[in-house]
Amino acid sequence: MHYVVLRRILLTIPLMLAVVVVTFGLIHLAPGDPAYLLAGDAPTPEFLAQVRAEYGLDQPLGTQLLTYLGKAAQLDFGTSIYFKRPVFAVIFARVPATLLLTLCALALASVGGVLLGVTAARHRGTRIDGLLSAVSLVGYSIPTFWLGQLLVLVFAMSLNWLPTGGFTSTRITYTGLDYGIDVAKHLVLPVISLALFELGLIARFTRTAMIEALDRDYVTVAYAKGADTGRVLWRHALPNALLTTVTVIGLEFGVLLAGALVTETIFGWPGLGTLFYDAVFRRDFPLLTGCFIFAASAVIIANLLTDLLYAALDPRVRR
Amino acid sequence: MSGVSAITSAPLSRRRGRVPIAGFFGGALVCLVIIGAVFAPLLAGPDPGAMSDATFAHPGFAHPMGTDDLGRDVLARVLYGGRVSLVIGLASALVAVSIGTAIGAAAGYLGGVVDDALMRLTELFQVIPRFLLAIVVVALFGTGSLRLVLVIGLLSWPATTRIVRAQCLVLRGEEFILAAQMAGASPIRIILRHVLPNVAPYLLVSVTLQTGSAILVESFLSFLGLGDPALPSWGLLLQQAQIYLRSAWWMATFPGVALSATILGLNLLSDSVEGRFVARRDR
Amino acid sequence: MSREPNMPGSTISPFISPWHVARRSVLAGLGVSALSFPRAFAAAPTRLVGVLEETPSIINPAITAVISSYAAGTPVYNALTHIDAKGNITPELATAWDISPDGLTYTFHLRQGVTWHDGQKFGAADVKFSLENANGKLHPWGRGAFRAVERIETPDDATVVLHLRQPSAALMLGTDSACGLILPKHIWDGSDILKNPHNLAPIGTGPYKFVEMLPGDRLRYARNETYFVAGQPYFDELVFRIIPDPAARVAAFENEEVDTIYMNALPFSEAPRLGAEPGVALKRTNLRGAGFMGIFNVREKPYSDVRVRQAVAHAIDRGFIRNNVDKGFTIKMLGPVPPASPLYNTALQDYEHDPALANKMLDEAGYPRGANGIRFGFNFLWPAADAGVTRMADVIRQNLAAVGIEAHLQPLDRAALTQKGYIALQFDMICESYGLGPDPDIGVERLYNSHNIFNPPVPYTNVSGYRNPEVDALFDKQRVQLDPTARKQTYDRIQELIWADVPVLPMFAYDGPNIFRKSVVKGLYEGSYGNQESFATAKPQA
Repeated sequence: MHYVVLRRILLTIPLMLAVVVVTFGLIHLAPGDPAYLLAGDAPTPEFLAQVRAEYGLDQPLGTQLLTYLGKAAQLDFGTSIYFKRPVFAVIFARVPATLLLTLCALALASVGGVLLGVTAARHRGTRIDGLLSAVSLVGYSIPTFWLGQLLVLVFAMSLNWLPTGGFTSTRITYTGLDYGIDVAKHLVLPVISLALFELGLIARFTRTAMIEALDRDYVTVAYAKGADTGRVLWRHALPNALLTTVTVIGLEFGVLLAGALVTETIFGWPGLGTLFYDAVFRRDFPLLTGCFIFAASAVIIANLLTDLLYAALDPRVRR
Repeated sequence: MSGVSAITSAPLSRRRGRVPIAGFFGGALVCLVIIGAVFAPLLAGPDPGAMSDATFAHPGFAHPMGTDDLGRDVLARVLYGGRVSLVIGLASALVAVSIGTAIGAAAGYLGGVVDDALMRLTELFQVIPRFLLAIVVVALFGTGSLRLVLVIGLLSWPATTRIVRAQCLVLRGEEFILAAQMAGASPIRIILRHVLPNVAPYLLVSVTLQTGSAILVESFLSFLGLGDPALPSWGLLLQQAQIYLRSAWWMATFPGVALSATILGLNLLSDSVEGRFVARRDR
Repeated sequence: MSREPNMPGSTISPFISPWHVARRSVLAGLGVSALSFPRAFAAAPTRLVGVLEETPSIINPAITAVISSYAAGTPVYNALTHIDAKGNITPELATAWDISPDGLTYTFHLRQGVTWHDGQKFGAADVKFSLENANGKLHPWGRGAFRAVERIETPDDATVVLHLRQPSAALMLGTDSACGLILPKHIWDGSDILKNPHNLAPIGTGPYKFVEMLPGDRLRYARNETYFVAGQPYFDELVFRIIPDPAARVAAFENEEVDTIYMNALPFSEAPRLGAEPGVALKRTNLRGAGFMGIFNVREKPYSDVRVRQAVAHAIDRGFIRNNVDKGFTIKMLGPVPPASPLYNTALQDYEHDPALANKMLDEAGYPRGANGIRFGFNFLWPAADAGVTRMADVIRQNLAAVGIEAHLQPLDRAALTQKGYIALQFDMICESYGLGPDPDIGVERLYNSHNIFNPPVPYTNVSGYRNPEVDALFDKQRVQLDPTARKQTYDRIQELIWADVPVLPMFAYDGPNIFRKSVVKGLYEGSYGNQESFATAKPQA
């Protein structure tokens, strides 16, 4: 187990490195002068010279790469053209909101997906199974942004049950528990939009894994020993299902981030998604690459965590 | 999406309860969309961009899906949009599967150092959030359908690679392969004539799955304004409809339904293809 | 609210307040909490909620014309004068002014007893400092408006004298919020104005004090208790929500989460519908001239040929565009000057929509159709974020296809548009919204005067490359004509010449719609600019 853990952690480092190199490469491969890209629009010649000096753009490519890597290691990703503040600071300020949204969505997707999948597997072949499978299939076929649009249209604009967007109410400033409730109200629609895709996926794979687990010999043995269905389900088959869930989360984390980007744009959620979107449209390249490196790192770390979790949970992998 | 089926530990033949109706339903949906796209000129006139003074018409007899803010018929735009989405989706899927097959076959068949290197590369591509990378690339290099197809294709190949590689590893020990090797056939010839035909069913599944996935990515990009502005893809229609959500709900509803139905159909189809063809080949 | 250390990574629970880095921008001494108000108020603080379409990167309308900077900064600052919706110049920081008969000396008498938000007294030194270092030096419009000023004197703390090199017809129009907001000397003196952190934490004399900005979320302002107009402002708090998505802004307004949307944040296509709802007031602010200008690149064939440009003018159905894009707020505009300006030449004749005529003109100009029916291409560039032009682009493409011109549509984001269009000059037409006021000297002339052609090119100047010595001479002539009749005559001739050459094809001029909820507030948008609302006169209802 220790060997596996160590190996996975060690492998992460070259991956992160590769991401930074890829990002660097993109900036320099792109048409146009990287100095212009990094300086923003209509820069004065003096400012351009300043940018060139700061980013070492007159140096040979190899030196530039090393400088970039060196700075990245110190978490210096340059200065945002639009905000005129260090990229790292700008990104860091928006992380909590996105974290809140993503973790809530993951929680909903995992719990809901597992429940759906387990129930479907338990009643496999019957109409319940058909219905639940259809629901999960539809869930991951609906584009996140369209779902968000519909939810706003129905629940916020027509029925008026929930707000149309934002993190908290602008009308009244809540404190304490009321603040928590206000944020929760604002979380409902974005979390549902974001979670449905993953929920459907997790449900589908949990179902498959459960069915497969239930077919295994040891389950037959357990039944023969007189264990009831419930016990079999929860003690033997479920851990197997959890492994699947964990793997799916890891593999689809990048997709979840993409979904978060779009969801945040629709709901005006003040997190990394709106920041990334802004950075793209303003061609704020330092910020854009900073966001990208951050997102890629998040995916790598999520993969690492799920791999470790998998290793911890799967009795076959333990040494 | 993205070949998650590869992670299922269960041998595919064990999959039970796969209702055949689902496959037919999926196939029917996809056929409907294809028919709509192919016969768009017949069904809705030659020009989806034809403007008129009848702006914001409710869905009715003259315009079954209503008109948009410039008086364009939404039905026409949805049908022609289907062409765009399907073509881009399929093209991207083919690019992805081709690259994935080449790399997977090389890795699986040749093994050793080549395998290791290619698998590291695959891991890298799998880990980079492809949608975000697509956004960055489009931001840097510009929009356009061809670019879009290349970007989506180049970012989607890892899924196919693993499947193909796994099959190649299995096939490497097969007798007919060994026989061909002893007869002196070159690796490429062996791969093309013996390995690929055996892998074909997996590729079919992959293409179907990837098409749905690519259509989704393209619609996301168009929705964010990064698609090709001259083509009425569904994502673009949904983006244009954003503002009119309350006043002209039909502008967002019909393209959204079309998009969801297509993806659903493709998912169902790939499921049933996987269930029918792949399961049979399992050992 | 306690003062937490401003370090990234400070371990504050995200459930309380995650944006401490932004708090760095709130100054010590300003610590006004929006919730702490004089004990006289027993009721809950009255709050007005507006909306911004982006997180402002700078809140300093004295040095930049960026619209979000205006929207966020106007409640905080004051200018020497205030120009109302009818164009009358009324006192603000200046109570009276005299202009010498030769037009070379402007004397402003300043209001007494005005204080900055940090308690310091306002005086003539502030005006001198601001006009010299900010408004007149850095602001894109201010540079034009105050160009003629040679030196500024402050004989005493309540008087500012401007000495001009030559008479300037436009100067008074530059003294209001458009480019004349005054910065405090004691805050800005000695610093690099462009890098000063107060660009995001403004201190002014205005009706509302800036409290804080939470990027991506909102801006907060509190009532200035010592504002120099008795009784004003009427709200205790002002909050602007930042909502980048136009549909979300509309939804928020309809859901009553937001009380007002100003013109730059309001999708014009939704304005008529929203304005017609019961309880919603729609005010059109005139802007003293803004329009969507289609700028030709006249340097190379075929667009260097005036007949080709005229043919394009005949081909593009601007009537259809007016009626269907931003319907209800478009105004027909012929020539370089916006119809809102008193200098507008009403005698100009339009290039009527006539594809047959356009075809004939193109044939005669020597550009026959090729085998595929196409004469030549048309690289059409515009800012991708502009929904109005995006809709126009589709119409234009169809119109031009009818006369054998193949349009290549290129929506670009701001940086790419600047790079490719304005600097590399790789375009046949750029179309975007231009502010053409406050006076044509400031907003209009820059597009046509050949002295405004720079190498390397500079955006928003004479980027079409148009050179007409006669027009240049007339510009110089009218600039010093203080008699309005004479000036109008000269300017009429300028418009005739430019319209005949049509180096720029105006699609339409527009009014800005601004909306607010009548049950919540009244007294909004009574000035001339919707995006420069100070909220001083906004009164809570009910």
